[in-house]
Amino acid sequence: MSLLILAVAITGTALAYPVAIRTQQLSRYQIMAGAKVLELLDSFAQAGHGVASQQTEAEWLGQSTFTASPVDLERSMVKSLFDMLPLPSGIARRIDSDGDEIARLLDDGGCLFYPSPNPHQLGSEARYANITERGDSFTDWSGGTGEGADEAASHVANLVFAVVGCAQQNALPYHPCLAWPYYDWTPAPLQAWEIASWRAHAAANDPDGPWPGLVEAEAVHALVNPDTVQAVVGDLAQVAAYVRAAQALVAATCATVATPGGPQPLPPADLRTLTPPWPAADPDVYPPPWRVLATRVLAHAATMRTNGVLAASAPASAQEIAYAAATHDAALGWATRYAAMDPYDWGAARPLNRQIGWDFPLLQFDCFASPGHPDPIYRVPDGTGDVSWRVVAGRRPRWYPEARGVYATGAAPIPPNRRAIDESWGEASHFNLASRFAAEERARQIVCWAVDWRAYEDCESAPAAPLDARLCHIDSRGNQVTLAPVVAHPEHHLFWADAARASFPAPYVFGAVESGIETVAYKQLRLGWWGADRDGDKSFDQGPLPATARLRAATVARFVFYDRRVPHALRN
Amino acid sequence: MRRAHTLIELLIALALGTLLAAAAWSAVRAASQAITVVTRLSIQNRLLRAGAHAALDDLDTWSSYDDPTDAARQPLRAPGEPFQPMALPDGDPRRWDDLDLALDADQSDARCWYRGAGVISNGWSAGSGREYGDYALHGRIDHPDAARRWSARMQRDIVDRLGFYALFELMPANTVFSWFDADGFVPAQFHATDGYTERDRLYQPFVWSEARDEPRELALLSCLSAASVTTAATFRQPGDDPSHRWFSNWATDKWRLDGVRGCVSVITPMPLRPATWPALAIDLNRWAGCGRFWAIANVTVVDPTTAERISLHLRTHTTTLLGARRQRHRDAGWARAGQPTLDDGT
Repeated sequence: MSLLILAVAITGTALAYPVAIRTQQLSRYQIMAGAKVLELLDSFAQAGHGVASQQTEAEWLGQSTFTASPVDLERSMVKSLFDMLPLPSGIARRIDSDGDEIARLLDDGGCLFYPSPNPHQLGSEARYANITERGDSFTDWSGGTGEGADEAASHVANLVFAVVGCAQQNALPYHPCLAWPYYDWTPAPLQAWEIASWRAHAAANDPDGPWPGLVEAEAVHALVNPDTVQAVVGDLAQVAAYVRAAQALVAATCATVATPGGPQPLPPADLRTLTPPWPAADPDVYPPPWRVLATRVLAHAATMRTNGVLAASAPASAQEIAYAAATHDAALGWATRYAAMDPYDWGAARPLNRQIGWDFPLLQFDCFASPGHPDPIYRVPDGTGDVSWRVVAGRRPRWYPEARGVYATGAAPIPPNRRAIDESWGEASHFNLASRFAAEERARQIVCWAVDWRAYEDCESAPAAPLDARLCHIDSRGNQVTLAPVVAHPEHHLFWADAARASFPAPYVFGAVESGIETVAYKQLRLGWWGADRDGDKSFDQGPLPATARLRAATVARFVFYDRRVPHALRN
Repeated sequence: MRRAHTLIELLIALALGTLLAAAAWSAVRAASQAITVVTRLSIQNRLLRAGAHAALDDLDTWSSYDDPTDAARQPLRAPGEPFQPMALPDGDPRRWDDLDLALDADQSDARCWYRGAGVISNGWSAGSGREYGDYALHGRIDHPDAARRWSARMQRDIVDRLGFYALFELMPANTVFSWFDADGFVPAQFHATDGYTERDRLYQPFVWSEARDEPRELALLSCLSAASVTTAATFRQPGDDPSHRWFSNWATDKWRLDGVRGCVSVITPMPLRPATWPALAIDLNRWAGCGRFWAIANVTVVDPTTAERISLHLRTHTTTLLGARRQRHRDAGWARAGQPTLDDGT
């Protein structure tokens, strides 16, 4: 009996203590996972939102790579610097998990991510990782005390993450053919795209209503535009002519009051004095774009009269100064009123002076057939075979211009694309970005597992995870469409340069036109064919485990997060 | 009569007993080692959790930068530092407005609109300047119309009195950081690009073109640069003035961009712990740079017996400096709702 009791005690002890150790290890993993998720969501909520080096608009639907710009968390992790790197699919496929959750995730097109060996801390754009190579990451996590790597790295290294649950259809960052809203300063001269838009909308049969004052607008643009303004500033006669032309434009488009300085646009009425509901046709509440443009130009002209070059020879009179101040105030008033009231009026640029970023129109793809479009797929007429869904908005925009951007790195203007925009609209009733929703519709999960995948013999030689071609800066016509790298794989800074796996590729050069992008060598280099230094120690490592073996991942934690549909940034 | 044990039986019993004792001893040893491991892991985990809680608490309250309950631990309340109270008496010429001292950058309010020229600050030719017009007519620091001096005063006073980081934290996203002085020009601090990390130069040479001096927002001002809040002695040497200086990727001294990692504020929990106990250290780091805000904490546990070192790296959203200022009572301690804070006038 005593033997039996002792055997049970010993066996129980032998079984219990490993469980206790595993529990503490799991607890450690959970602490680390929680910290990583805090970091993830910090990046997610405050991601870089600059659109430099982005193809924001294109001639036709299906040609703008920006439509693939990430909104969902897992796509953000692939596109931006989130300190999470995609695990090579060859390795991810060897990992088992409870309920085959990982296998199902991969089957559905998902991806496993592992924490970057060098957490990125000094920027939110990929380019910083290269420019600041010496100081971009912590190799030690000691807060700068330089005491070297520690145990935490090994604990975090064993974690893999994934986002599970269905993502919702996201809003588009811009209309693919028109990166609206356009912005400009108030005051400013008439831009080429603005006078072009004025011409396009001046016809009496314009579906949204004709713009008045084309003749006057043409005269103003002929006198002063962004290309000629610098040559005009010291010429009193030219400046005076500019003021007169702008006054004529305002007189033709706005309600004015006569002042000693000339006709002055009346400022917008204080909304607090107007009883809602405000009629859509009330130009005081919903100012038309021509009024905004005309007052902006007059303010520019009148303020130019006060410029420092003329001040030396023909200083502005008190009357001219007062006139400049009054017209400037009116222009700002109309521009800010216009920007605040209707995000679907695309006639005039939003004022950069109004320092908010939240007047974006809501746009989404229309993924479904409708009586107007039995085939929801739009086939791009550029010979590439590209396709796209059409676009729906909260309300069909009015008075939209044509794209003013350039195409590809040759800086050729985007061809006139009014027809493309006209053809781009889907069934308005399919718009649902503003619909009511249940909380669970917006709930997804970040799941964290622990698995020692670095034990595999090919942990650093396995080719990198495939990259969604839509995230590359190249279009179906083979053109590099931005000055960002054509391919910017999130692991790129860790890629081996060749089969010797002893060196790294040269960093990207931002702003450069890349060559040889269709060669095998380029693709091997930029898509991680030779694997990557996935522990960041700058030496090639191989684990003891053959690639034929399978590993089982232990679930560490699950975190529910809000699945946003609209691009946003919380503070920056 | 009972038969005595034979010698063989005795030997077997002894052998079994020895085996049993050895097994029991092995079990005890294994159990002891396991207990040691579990206990060590448990202590480390608890320390990590405690450290994480303390770090997150400090990230929320900024207590390691400014302890509202201890006047001796308020190094950042001096003039020019981020926790300087901004309570100015009525009639003080430094007030943003004669009637209203509220920190308000609401863009529906015309006082807060940017009224300068968009493409250039002062002009392309030295001497004359203002080639596109005298935009100071529309708003400047001493404009007779209070609504037209509001924004200029607010920006000037925040950066003068609280520093670069505070300027970015207190003003809304997308703010154009520029204003006109009484002479009608944008002051050098908001215009001149004399060199990277020059003291009192909000504007730095731009990455892609040093000569550019257009009005900028956070993204361009902080391109490959960072403005920090720090109490670290390294950056508080005579003449340092870290609240009015950038860390830049192109600097070669301690103001180099990666130097911002040394701007730590340190918490040392358990100051009275025995030397044999694991040590817990927390450092915190805050800066605005590279187009965004950063709040980082590192929790480190070091076991003095094994020298094992475990760190937890935290980066998260926290209370802003604006929020932290409004957590603090204007006079002392924490502010309750309705009580005056560091941002409230007298």
